[in-house]
Amino acid sequence: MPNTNKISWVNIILWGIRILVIILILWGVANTIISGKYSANNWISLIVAGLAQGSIYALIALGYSLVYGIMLMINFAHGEVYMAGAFVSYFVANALEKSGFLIRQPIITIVILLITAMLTSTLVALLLEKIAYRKLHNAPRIVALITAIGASFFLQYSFRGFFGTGFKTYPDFGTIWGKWTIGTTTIQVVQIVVAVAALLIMLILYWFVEKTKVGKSMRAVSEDREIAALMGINVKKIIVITFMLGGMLAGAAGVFRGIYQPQGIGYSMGFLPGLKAFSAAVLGGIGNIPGAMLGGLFLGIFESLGPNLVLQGLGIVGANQLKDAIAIVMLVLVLIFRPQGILGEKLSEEKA
Amino acid sequence: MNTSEHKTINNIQQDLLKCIRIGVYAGIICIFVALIGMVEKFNSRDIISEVISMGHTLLVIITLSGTILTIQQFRQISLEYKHSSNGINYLWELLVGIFTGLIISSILAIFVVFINEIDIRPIFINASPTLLTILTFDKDIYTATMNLLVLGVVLGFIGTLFLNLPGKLRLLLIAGISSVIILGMFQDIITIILSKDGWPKILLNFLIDKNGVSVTASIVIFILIVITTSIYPYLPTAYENTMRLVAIYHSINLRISMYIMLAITLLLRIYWFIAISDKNLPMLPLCREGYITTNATLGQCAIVVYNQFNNVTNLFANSTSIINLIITISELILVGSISYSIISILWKSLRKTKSYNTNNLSELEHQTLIIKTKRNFSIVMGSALLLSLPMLLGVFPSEVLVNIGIYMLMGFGLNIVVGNAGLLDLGHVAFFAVGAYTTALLTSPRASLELGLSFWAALPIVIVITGLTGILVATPVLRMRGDYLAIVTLGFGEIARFLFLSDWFKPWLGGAQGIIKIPPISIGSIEFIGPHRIYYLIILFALIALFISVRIKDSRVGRAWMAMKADEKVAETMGINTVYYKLLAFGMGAMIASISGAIFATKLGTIFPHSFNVLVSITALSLIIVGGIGNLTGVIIGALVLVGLPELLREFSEFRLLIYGTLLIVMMLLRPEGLVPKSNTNTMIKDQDLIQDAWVENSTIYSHVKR
Repeated sequence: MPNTNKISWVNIILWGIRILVIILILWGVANTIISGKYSANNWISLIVAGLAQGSIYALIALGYSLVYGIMLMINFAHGEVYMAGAFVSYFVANALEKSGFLIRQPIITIVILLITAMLTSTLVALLLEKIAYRKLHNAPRIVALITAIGASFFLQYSFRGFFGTGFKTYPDFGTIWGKWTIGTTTIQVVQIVVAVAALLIMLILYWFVEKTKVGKSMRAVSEDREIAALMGINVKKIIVITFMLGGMLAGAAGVFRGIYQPQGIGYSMGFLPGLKAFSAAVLGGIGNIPGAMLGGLFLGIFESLGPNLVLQGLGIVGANQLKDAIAIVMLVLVLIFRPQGILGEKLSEEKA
Repeated sequence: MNTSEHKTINNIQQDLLKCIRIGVYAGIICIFVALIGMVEKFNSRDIISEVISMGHTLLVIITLSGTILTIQQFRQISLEYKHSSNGINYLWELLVGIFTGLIISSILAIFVVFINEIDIRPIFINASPTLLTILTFDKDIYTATMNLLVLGVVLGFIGTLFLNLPGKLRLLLIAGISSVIILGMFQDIITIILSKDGWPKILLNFLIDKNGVSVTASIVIFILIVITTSIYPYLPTAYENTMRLVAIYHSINLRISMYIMLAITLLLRIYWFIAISDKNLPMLPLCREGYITTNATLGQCAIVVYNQFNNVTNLFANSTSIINLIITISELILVGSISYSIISILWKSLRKTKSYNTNNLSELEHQTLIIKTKRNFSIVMGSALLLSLPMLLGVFPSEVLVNIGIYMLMGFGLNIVVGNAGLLDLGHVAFFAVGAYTTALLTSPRASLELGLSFWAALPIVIVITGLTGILVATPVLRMRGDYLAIVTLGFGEIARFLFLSDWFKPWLGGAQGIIKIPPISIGSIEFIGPHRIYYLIILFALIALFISVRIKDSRVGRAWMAMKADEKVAETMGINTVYYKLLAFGMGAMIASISGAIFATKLGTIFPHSFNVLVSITALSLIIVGGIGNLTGVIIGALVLVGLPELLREFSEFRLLIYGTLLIVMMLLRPEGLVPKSNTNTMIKDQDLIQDAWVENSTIYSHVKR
């Protein structure tokens, strides 16, 4: 509730922060570019890497956004849904690699992996909805959020119990496909594959939400749940479908993560990406599907460029260590500058 | 007639379906527990030595609960359809119970056969041969399966039988069995305490066998607890009567005399504490060694108590008999009652008040007097216990107590933010960390600043800096609603860790190596090294935090928070400056957490960024939620249960966060108001808070709120 008439000192501080942030960013960028440490090729490969990473974030962010649009709750355990998909498909990938199938048919392997991961993640998301969230449709938001946090830790530590604490490593798709060289720029093919496949999945989702009947009901429910129910839409079913969609996307994201970044598949892998994807969803405008996609891609690029472009320019040592903090800082900045996100319309009181 | 019979049969089919469902759930839980490694881990310890292990107990409890839940469900349904007679009903119940037991055990049996045939260990690391041995009781697979099925039937039968026992008997059984189980679970800590010098060896030998509670001890304890429980209903009356007597005989201003007595004992305690560390201080002259004299004056008594306390420390370090301790406690009570009598007489003569002849008292006054007496009694006994705990228990349990205290302090801080002001803060660890790091920077001579301040000089600076950090964190997110606030604070918690870890701040904060050589807290020449000393500091700060929390709750500030929590817009309309109060809440929460962090830093002497991860915030959040949001007793109990238990139970610590997660879900689904019932004063406001967001009229969980 911004009281527009009154200028309180909080407003002044916020404006101060805004100006400071802009100056800092410009200063950092200018410094880096003047120093000429990186060539254009460097920047291009960073951007492509950022796009691949960003499309993974976008897939997870969509899950947040979909659920938020319909239930007005942050599904805090969504990062764990993603982790479940990555984890289970790792075992399949491992088996396929041992049998030699992976080398022969990498594309079919990826399809198999996607199906496994999507099924697992959907299953986890549905269980989550059934056991934890179903009874909380009308509960205060803080109660739902705390339940979600509980569910998140429950899932993490169940997986830790099932599969152990060690980190797993996906088969290396990077070396199977090698690199492309266009002119003087080399790009890893894996990055292109991940970005394109993720984009394809997002397009399918977009079509589903915009064109099909179920998608229309979803939009109707997110507009006004009660009236949608009056119009004969089965709200409970729509919520289940929403969780299913979110789970599928998260599962796909899990596989892409494994392909793109083979190391570090473990029980705690979902926490930070979950947090970042939430930032991405807010960046794009929470509840907004194209917004979540854009937000994810932007976040990926920011994360990839940020340390080198801005932080090094500011003279920060070991800027890449702060890579993970960028998403969170960005979340705070978005909330200060434009709380409704890039594509979000002004939120009504109820949602904001 | 025909139709009703048909209905009954239909009904029974339904019942069977429901039985099957609950049974299947219980079976799946059994498998879940086995696969995440709980059974194997728990099995390393026996509840009753060489009779039943903890892992088996877990499975038995799950099976029994499954059976009991099923039968309760069955009863609920059969209430709707009146069955022909009771006898038949019992029979059906028995059948249902046995059937459920059979389902659970057969699921487990299938699982056993499965892991026997197929090696799933490459995927599920806990499906090990050891697990198989545990589940098959080390028999071949055929016998094991049969055994399991028979066991299921037996457990189903026991479950049914148990539910059909008269209520009183059931209570006794539960009390007896659970106390044996608790004793078995805590055997490690009991062994540690009892093997200290001073406790009679025979007690330990009697209680604990090789790997669990001995058979005889478990029987004895079972019987003892059953007896205690059966006389328990009469105990409150006895207590009431005693208190009534005390109230009648000492019906002068009780509170003040009790407080004075408390102060005396406290002062003695502190003097002892100082004298132990500082050899220069004169030891008080002793009137007599050991026992109390009947004609002892107050001062002499005090000296004896002081001396006894000395002996208690020796009990801690060297060896003195347990009898000394008992004497000390009885002396404490004696000193209390004597000083109390003297003061009451003095008070009486000074005030020249009308003597409280109890016959003239109205019933109301009388009741008030009794209540006061009771409260004072519990305050005195509670403080005596609180002050003597580290000496009673020894080093390791004191360490646990200190950890509990650190989390409790953090919980008090978080409770102001979450409980009072209703702002969900998931990054409380950031304030804890800032407190710890600032303390380290200011006090450690090896830190970059090279200040080497004393703890007490640093503490105000630490508190102010952390308070400012709290306000700084809160400012950008002030206008956001709960969800965003939660995520952003969570993010800040993570950012704090990244910054502490980063090379950027390494010159100042030491990066991954952290800051070393933080000096211990000292007063004069006494250094607070070791958990049994830090304990007193923790108690001191926890009491201060508790006092602040209690006092602030119903103050103007507390009511403003309450209003803000109930409805922010309305509160603003009523003239509450929400910005100010939100910042105040964050600032205060951060300040209290910073004290906790400061003690944490000095306790360890070295701090690393890795100690300040998100799990700390989650633990703090869990403990205030399990106890009941906004409830101070809840914070204390939550800290004891959630921090204390995993530290005491080796087996639990691995599954700590799993259990926290489960607890959070279960609490929110079943008891969102927390374990500890809230006092009536705030329920109305809280209820409104719950109603506020409820959309639909027939909300199931919160319907009780609407009345």
